[in-house]
Amino acid sequence: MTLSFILSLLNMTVENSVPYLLITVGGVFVARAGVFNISMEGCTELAAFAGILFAFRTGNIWVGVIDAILFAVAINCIFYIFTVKLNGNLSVVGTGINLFAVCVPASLLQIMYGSRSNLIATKIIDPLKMMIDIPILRKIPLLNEVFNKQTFITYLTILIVWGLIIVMYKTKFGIAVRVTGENPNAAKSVGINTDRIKFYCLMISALTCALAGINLSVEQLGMYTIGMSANRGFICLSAINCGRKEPGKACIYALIFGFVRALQTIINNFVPVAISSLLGILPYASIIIVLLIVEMPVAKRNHLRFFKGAN
Amino acid sequence: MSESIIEVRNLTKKFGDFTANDNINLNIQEGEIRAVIGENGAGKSTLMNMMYGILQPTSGDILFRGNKIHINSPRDAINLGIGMVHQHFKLSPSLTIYENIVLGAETLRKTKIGKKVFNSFLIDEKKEREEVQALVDRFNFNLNINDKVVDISIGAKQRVEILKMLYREVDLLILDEPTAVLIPSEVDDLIERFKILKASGKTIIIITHKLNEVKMCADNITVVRTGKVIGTVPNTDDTTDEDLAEMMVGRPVLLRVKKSGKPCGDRIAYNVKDLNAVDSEGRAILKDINIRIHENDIIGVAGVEGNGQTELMLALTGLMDIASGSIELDGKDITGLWPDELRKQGVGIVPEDRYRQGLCRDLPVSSNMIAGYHDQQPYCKNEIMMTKAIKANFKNISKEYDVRLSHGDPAVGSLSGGNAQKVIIAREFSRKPKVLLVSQPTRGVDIGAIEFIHNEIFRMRDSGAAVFIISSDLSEVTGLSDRVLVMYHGEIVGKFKSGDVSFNELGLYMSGVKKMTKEELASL
Amino acid sequence: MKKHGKTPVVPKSIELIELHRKKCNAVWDTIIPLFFAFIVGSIFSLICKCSPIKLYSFILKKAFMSYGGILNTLGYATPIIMTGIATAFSIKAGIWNMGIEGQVFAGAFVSALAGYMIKGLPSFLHVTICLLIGAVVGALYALIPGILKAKLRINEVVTTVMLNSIATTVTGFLTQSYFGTGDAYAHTEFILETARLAKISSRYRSTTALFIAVVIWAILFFVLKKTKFGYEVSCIGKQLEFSDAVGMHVAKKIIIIFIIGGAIAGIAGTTEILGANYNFVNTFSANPGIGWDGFFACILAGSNPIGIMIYSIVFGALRYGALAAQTGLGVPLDLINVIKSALVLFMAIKLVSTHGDSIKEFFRKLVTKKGDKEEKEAKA
Repeated sequence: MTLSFILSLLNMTVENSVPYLLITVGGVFVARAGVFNISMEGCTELAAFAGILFAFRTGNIWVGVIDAILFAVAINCIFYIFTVKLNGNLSVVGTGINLFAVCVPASLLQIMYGSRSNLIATKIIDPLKMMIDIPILRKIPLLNEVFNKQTFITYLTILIVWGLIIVMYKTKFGIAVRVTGENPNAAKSVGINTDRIKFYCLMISALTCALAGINLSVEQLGMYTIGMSANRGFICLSAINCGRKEPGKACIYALIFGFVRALQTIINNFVPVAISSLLGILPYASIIIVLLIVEMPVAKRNHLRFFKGAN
Repeated sequence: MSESIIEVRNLTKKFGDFTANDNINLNIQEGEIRAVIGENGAGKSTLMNMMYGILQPTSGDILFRGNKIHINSPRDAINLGIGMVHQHFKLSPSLTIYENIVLGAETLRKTKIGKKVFNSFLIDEKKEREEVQALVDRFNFNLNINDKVVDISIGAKQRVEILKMLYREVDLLILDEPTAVLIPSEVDDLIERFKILKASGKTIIIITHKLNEVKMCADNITVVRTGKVIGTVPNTDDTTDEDLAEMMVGRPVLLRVKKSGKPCGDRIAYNVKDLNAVDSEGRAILKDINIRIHENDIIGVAGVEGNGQTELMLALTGLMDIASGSIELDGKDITGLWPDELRKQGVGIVPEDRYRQGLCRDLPVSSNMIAGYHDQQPYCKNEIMMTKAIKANFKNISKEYDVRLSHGDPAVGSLSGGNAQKVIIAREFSRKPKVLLVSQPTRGVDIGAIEFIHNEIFRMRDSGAAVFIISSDLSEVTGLSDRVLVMYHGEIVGKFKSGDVSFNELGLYMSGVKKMTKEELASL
Repeated sequence: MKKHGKTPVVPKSIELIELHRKKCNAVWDTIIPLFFAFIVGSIFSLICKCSPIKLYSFILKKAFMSYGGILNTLGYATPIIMTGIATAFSIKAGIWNMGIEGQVFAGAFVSALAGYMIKGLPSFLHVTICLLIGAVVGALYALIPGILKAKLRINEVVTTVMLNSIATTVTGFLTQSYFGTGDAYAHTEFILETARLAKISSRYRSTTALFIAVVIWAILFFVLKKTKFGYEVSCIGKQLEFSDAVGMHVAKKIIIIFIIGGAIAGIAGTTEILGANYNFVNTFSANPGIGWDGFFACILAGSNPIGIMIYSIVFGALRYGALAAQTGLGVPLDLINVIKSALVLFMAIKLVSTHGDSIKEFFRKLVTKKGDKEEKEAKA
């Protein structure tokens, strides 16, 4: 276990944690407002697709970025209308949106390019160019290996996480979000429009999911593969639950899952090709193990025999 | 002569075909303490909700200080100077007391850019804390403003609710069932505070069904029945509790159901020995509980909510693990049994929260009437549910226990509180159990049904059952029980014959001031 | 004294009128989402450069207008009937078992192995054993999220979705690395003749699995409606705390419900292997998966068993029609999934029963506004 191995592992952790952190920190707002949103998966997937598609067709990365954000916002608007305004069942609407967001890219790809496979845009986007070299960091020995040459959104993520934590705990909006989730009647009685709060939270989540999707497809690879978000939406839901809906704690779990993902990538280099496909279960298995570790002590101390209410 | 602060003229509220408030006329003077009383479902809360902007009237006018106004939302009401403290607290558990008080009216930090002063996005926590502390000190409310609401007592939560309104400088304060969760001394405190508020010029409206408290503080009493105002009477010695009850129900009501005087049996039917239980943090929530109930006996537990009564009921009804101790029924050990097994042994259970533990809202009344006994004959043969037997049971016990249904077999969620409670009572009492565990038997139940339920409890007692009652209503506990236990912080601290002790004395034990020794407890 | 001629009119009780209204609303609730979903489908169809009418009529013709077509439709519908009723059983209890797909894979894979590894048995025995193995494996796999929920109160939505991915990855890996045959696409050995299910008519897809599916469906229907277990399942689905308070031992029942769901899912996967594929390929549970089709059928039918039967057949028709349309009209397969997801979304909001009144109000206001406008213009 040499130093360079550890450093490259940390570097990959930083790189891989970005989508998890983004989806999680946006999702915390939605969860805190009392909405169980499983459509973050579809949102991220569609944003990843839109980013590459429009960048490819117009030759301009920024068009791709803007369109990814627009699509994510549109998906969350649909979610909002169907669940908050029209009172649809959260799990059903979420699953419906996830299915929708998976089959639309597939069918469009088949129509436009004849096959249901990847969309490679590396002519327009060079993943290596996405890495930013920061002069100050270059001079600091350990930090350079870990934090330098990351992508723009990676650095943005640090700001976003820090900023959103402040919003949650130090602003009027943050308090309104927490009250909406804990006691909607209390919120309404002081004049807080709970529907509007939920909408704003969904928009925050749309933005972070869009950035996560763009990071996955545009920044890291320069291409889109079907199913590339790889259940990150669900994984982040676990992170939010384990972190008891607190942004700080949830982000720590997101980092753990990013670390597992990095581990998977690195181990891939050392194992025979056959096993590498098996490594794919690492993130999923790690969630179940994390859940076990977190919930077992809680369950042991619980002396109530009955199940309490809903989700 | 004081002026009218709020007046309603011909105020009507309809929900579809149902008229909740029917041409109400009311006039309240500034500086008055007005009590509005009536049964559950009479329309008192609807009226107050219209004054506070939560509901909009179907027709009629509201006048504030003589001017016609439209109150479209609680914000409008507060701007006018009308505040409301609800029965079900509207507090956010994870926020602190001061954060809850300033909720919706947070103070923002100001930033200076050049000569102009802007409101920044961030909250000025220091200023908020100062302002709230000043308010707490001014009215002497005894709160630590940095505590999280989830950690404080129910009485404290109510004080926070009142402060929420005072922070917004309201002139008219409406309180919905304010004393439902307080012990006698806290009730006295609250009534004293009302008098202080009245002296500083505030007007108070109390919605309540507790006639004795109404008599303690109200200037005038308005009685509401089925959406109409029956009358407003001044609070004088001429107006008795019985008069008021009759106005509320529409017929003479026996407020104290008389005990038969039949003596307790000799055999101990239900014996709880040294019961201990812990919560999820490992703290003891039930400490060495000892309860002995004979046949033909009613033991009641008095105490402020939150002192372990809920946990005691959960432990006795098999919904919570017991750390140590034992429970015996007729000498047979039933410690740790689950609810279905308890019922098979002859224990009847009327739970504390009828809609969460006693009934399934979406199921019809007939299905609810067999729940808990649904695996026994004749309702279930060879795993198959016998619909005929279920329907027959439904018809029989609905009649016997006065469950009033407008038609057929509706979902239980559509019944009134009193009727729903009667469904549970019908289900459990009709099995003629040896032991009855009852928690809050008449909470949220109208006066007419209260009379019926108390009678049924006495009937069960007199025909041999051992009855255990937990109630936060002191007059109910003392009126029904042969002996009264007092719980404080998870322990039994007092034991009395119900005729031998005053409410004030009980209040001292309920607030932990006095405590009996083990010998004193064992002697009775 | 009877009047001559006319019999007196008996007023209907309020209850009957309410029931009638609810049934009407339920019918509208089913039709309106279909309408909107087909509009969404038409939009995408046009994007795919195919006329919607041509597409829909093609699918209808292929699926229902010929003996062979119907058999194929039923063949595709068979596993969905099973996964649908398995999902319904869970959802009635308020358990969102989204892991049926994973349980299908688990059961299918192991039974595919049993199909060629167990030799020398008469056909009846071999098939029964394979089905049993599929059921047991599916049930065991469902036990994982079941115990996690029952003992540790861990939310089952996330665990089951994770386990789906684990199941598909592990079975794919095992097929590729250890049990494969070395062909270009990874698949297990073909199962023996004795393990194959008999077809109803040799050229088409339906097999005796159809009867297995219908029997399972009927048994679960009966259990839900008439037995004590069914009563407890509906109580648990409606109010958890109440169910425990009346002594239903909810934790135990949750584990049983997961086991039943997993077992049926395992059988569904097994019948696909024994009846259609004759071996295990990791794409055997086509897009989006027989587990997911069952889930959607259940949601669209509101967990009503009769509705599930109907929607399973509809989905079977859609799957067969989509495959045919891909080759015949050049329309991508995923288009059908677009229609399905639109159906699910619009169904989820129960447009008529929840919002029917406010929609009527909205239109009434619109109409009266128009009327007022016309009046004003007439007066002027």
